[in-house]
Amino acid sequence: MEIKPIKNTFCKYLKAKSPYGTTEGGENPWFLLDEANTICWCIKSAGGAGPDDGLVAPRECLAGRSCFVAPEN
Amino acid sequence: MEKRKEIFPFGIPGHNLSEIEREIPNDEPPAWPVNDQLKEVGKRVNRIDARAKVTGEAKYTSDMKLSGMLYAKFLRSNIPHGSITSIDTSEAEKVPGVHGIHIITKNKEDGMVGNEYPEIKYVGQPIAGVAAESLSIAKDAVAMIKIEYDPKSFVIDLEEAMLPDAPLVFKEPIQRQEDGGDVGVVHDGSKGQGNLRGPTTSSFYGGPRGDLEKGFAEADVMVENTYRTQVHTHMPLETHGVVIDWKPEEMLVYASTQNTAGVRNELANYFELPKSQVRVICDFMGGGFGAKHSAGSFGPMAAILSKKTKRPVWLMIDRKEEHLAEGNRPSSIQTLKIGAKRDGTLTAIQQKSHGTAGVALGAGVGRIAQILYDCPNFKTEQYDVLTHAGPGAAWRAPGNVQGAFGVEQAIDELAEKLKMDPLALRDKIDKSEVRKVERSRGAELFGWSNRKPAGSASGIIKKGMGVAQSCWPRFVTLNSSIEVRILNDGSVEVRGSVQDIGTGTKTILAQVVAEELGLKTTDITVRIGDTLFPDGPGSGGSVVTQSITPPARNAAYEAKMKLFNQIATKWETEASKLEAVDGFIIHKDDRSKKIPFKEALRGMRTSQISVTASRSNDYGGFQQPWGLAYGDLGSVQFAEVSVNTNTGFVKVDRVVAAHSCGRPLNMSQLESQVNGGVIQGISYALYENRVMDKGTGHFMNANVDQYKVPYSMEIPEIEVIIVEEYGALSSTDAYGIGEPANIATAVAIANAVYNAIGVRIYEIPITPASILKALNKIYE
Repeated sequence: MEIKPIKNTFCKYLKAKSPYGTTEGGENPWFLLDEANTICWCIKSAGGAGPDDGLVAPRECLAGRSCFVAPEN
Repeated sequence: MEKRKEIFPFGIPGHNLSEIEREIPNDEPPAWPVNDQLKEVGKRVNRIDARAKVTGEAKYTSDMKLSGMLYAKFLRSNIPHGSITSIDTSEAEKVPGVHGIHIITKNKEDGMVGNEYPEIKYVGQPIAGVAAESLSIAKDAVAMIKIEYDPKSFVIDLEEAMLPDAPLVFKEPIQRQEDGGDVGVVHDGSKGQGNLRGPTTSSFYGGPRGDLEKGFAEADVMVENTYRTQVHTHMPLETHGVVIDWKPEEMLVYASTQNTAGVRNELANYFELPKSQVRVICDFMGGGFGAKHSAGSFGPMAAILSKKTKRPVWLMIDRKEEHLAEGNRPSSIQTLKIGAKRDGTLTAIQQKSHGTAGVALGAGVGRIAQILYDCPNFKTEQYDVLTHAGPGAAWRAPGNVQGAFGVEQAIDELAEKLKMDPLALRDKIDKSEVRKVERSRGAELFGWSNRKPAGSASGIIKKGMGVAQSCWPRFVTLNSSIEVRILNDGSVEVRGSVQDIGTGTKTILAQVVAEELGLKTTDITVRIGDTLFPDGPGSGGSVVTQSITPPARNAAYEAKMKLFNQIATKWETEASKLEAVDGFIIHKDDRSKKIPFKEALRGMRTSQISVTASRSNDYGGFQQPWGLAYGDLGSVQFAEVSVNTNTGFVKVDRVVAAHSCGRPLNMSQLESQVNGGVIQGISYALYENRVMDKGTGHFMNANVDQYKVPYSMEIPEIEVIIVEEYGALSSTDAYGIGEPANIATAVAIANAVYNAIGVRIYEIPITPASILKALNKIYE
């Protein structure tokens, strides 16, 4: 079964390190295929919490959040 | 793309070596034979930078001294949870020699919530930075910054954090639109409530399979237990840090990083600069085990201070900060239930885990339970538990080390219930051909046949033997490019952004290019770790060898063919009639017709031939198109221990580690990496443990004294077996070995301890106290 990357548009400042590499902010699709071992951080706040003090995670760093910034592409 | 057919070696020499035909792109080189027939590749070639390292000539990031450079220091929180109500820097600003202070703040444009200061969520969270003429001045100034906090209740214990009334690490819900998106059915690890997130039920190998209930009903034998692993912090010799010189035309960054291109991208993104205006250099690296892929908080801090002061800024964090804030291997509490038939056939595996990566997610236990053994019915539920502690980070084989500690003990327990030898059971349930060879060759070297029944050793010091095995995916970073230049002065140069984190990447690149050009490894100059050159992979996930050596060989081949075309014209023959061997270019049909390679370069039409190549797809395709290659990086490790039943001390006497990594490129370097992985595994099994104070939220042993790591007398004899395995998947067919070196060691030791004392220890680190408790010699 082919596991496809995620098509959502995540915040430009969301970044993740998974066992197979880093996923850059703003990339679409996102290669987050194994969330259990992926550590995320916010490039803007340079930490594990976003500029709104909220959790940095793919499920959270989406349009509508106060600190969300859409990727340019 | 035009393709041709090539015959490749396929299989394991001494076991099942054969040949296979593959279609490959026309511009890629012919298949290499097995290593026995090569001259540079697969040999014990010395590291090309060994002299620079042992003489001190090698300059690491922390060694950088730039003209006018300032030294920076972080101010970090000393409470685990709360708000900052005020920060007063007035006294710090007056300290002679202080040139810049920066306070980390939020702003409305970035979507801030609450006041201007980020909420404090763990002890050690960065708050501000000071740049001064010396590190001691910077430290003095940091001590003079006054902060007022509004402290809040906190939780640092995983099980307490799961309680319904536990203090929340992140307030819920986050404000966003109702239809803010769906990360998909299988990518669900960040949903949840309170401090609990998950469960994650799948990986890139898929989700649950079969019918657990049916599988357990079919089982004749069951094993069900809970296994616990500790938080394990990063301890590279060189801590995280950067030296940044932000000039108007370019931000120049010296970074201790596993990912120069990643750090460049992150800083460019943060400061909204074009990537071309950020240059990241990592020439030598003092170790990195997964946590050094980011610019961190130190990167932006140093850059801001450099911009403010218009001077280069050195910001290397110290050992305590490294422990507190720069990543750790998350803890785990794993419950495993495994069912099997009397002949050993597995019928069902059920796994449930909770782990904490502090203020981050990612505390899963890997894919070992899912894929190591053949089992039709499988389900995992992996939960993250948020706590007020420093964030986790990737740590050599993320998840799989914790997962192996559970799975490989459970398999040992199953073997005992089935009255089978642990190796015989694994022969039955493990379909991997290469691990079968590793078990066989490892057992013979180790003397596995001398193993005695568990708990049967006599005397105060009891000896025991244990085994465990591991798997790790073969990941390929497709965005991997490298340049090979041959110059008319006779030199050959390899250039890329890929960094050498100490494993010997420079040397294997030189070996591969030398082999292709018929030269010696020492003839090749390797300049990597610089984002001026083509982007290479990050050094993580054991991806580097398989991602960057094929394009390096392909670029060398293409450059060689361009040179051959020029020579063929002069010799009035065809380029295909020429070969490069032993420092000469020779006509295959008339071997008297030859020219020294370097002399041939002097006759080139241009002063250089430069070729940049990028990673192509594997010849047989991928398991997953994004770069999950076929096969895996297996290992089987054997451990022998002595347990003093009076004192509880465990001494690891010997480890035999049998590994595979496709075509081995440099046996000495591979052995060195396995040695390092085994030592880290011993350290994880017996020593390292983050101790948090529940009353204050402080990390009590954030140093190199009470945070125990093994010293030389605690490191055993380590014997390494490298099994050659040819898969005909790329032009080098070679893979990394970093991750697998570390996965099986701790659980092999745990199994050996059980064999020695006849009582199983379900939690690491295995300390003298835990041994004595297990033997009922001391009580809680």
